[in-house]
Amino acid sequence: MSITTENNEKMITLMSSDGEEFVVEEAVAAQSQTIKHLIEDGCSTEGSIPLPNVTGRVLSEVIQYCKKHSSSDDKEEKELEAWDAEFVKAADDHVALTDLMMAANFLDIKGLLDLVAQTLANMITGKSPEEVRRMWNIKNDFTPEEAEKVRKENQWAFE
Amino acid sequence: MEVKDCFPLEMVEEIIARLPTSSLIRLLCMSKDWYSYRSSDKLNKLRSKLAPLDEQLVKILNLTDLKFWNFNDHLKTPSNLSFPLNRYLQPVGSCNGLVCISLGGNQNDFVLWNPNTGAFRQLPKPEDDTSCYQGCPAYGFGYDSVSDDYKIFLVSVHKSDEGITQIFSLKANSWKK
Repeated sequence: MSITTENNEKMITLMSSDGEEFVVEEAVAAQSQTIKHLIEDGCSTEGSIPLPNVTGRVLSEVIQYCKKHSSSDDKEEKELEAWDAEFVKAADDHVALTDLMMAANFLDIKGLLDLVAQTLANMITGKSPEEVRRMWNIKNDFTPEEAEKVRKENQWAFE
Repeated sequence: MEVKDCFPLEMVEEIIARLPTSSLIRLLCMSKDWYSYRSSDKLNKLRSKLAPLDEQLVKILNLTDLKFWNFNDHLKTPSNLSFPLNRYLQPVGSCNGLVCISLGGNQNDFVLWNPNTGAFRQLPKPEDDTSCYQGCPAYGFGYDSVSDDYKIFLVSVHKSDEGITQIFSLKANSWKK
């Protein structure tokens, strides 16, 4: 759907996997390389752009990020950093952040991907393998002998 | 894209590339899937771009060959590393966090080591056994971005004063004259 606003901003409609529609300025949506390419390929002229991998909840967060980052210039770098920090804090927990990261990856928004990946990395830094296993339900498929051997080979990291 | 209780494996490298080395190695020991990332080239390249600057290991690896010996002193328990540090080692060079080492001072025995993940690989011997050749061979290790490959070059001089150049390609896992 190609609508233009009063100040002549081209608008496009994004549709989430659960059917929620978001009308955003093209410049905001084009923060996503994936959407930018879809627009360039003419996929946005007929109705809305469907994003079958992203739920409405996650997409609204992504749009918040893109809006902020398309309206700020380099001079506001400090303020933007503070905004980013608040933004990931609001995403709440590692499951929400994981969803956000998958969306950033699919939509190809490098800044968001870096931001969320770094937040998750900070979250697991210094945690024991047992704690991280519990966070994401990762199965330990080493036999006790294998686990012992692997641990021995990497002993210094456990000290 | 709702993920409940599972880690998106295609995202693992993006996240763990940003961890300090000791955290990274501990977490790689979590499961077989994760352990297999020790040899991931994607992880290695991301890491050499992203790793925290105050990481001791990274700093040392980015310095020249001689400083590499500090690595041995820095880790107080070198014998616990999955690396045969009890042999005489000659560092050949390091690139993207990978270290190439000549074992026992023998120019035919090269290994690649990734101290960030502990991954370790002994390389095949050059076609031409040059260990009986005269003089000091010249060698180097580097990354070839055109073919996305790591290479070692080895120049040795035969008794007949004839120079012989051999190049190892990690992708092909073999030497070429």
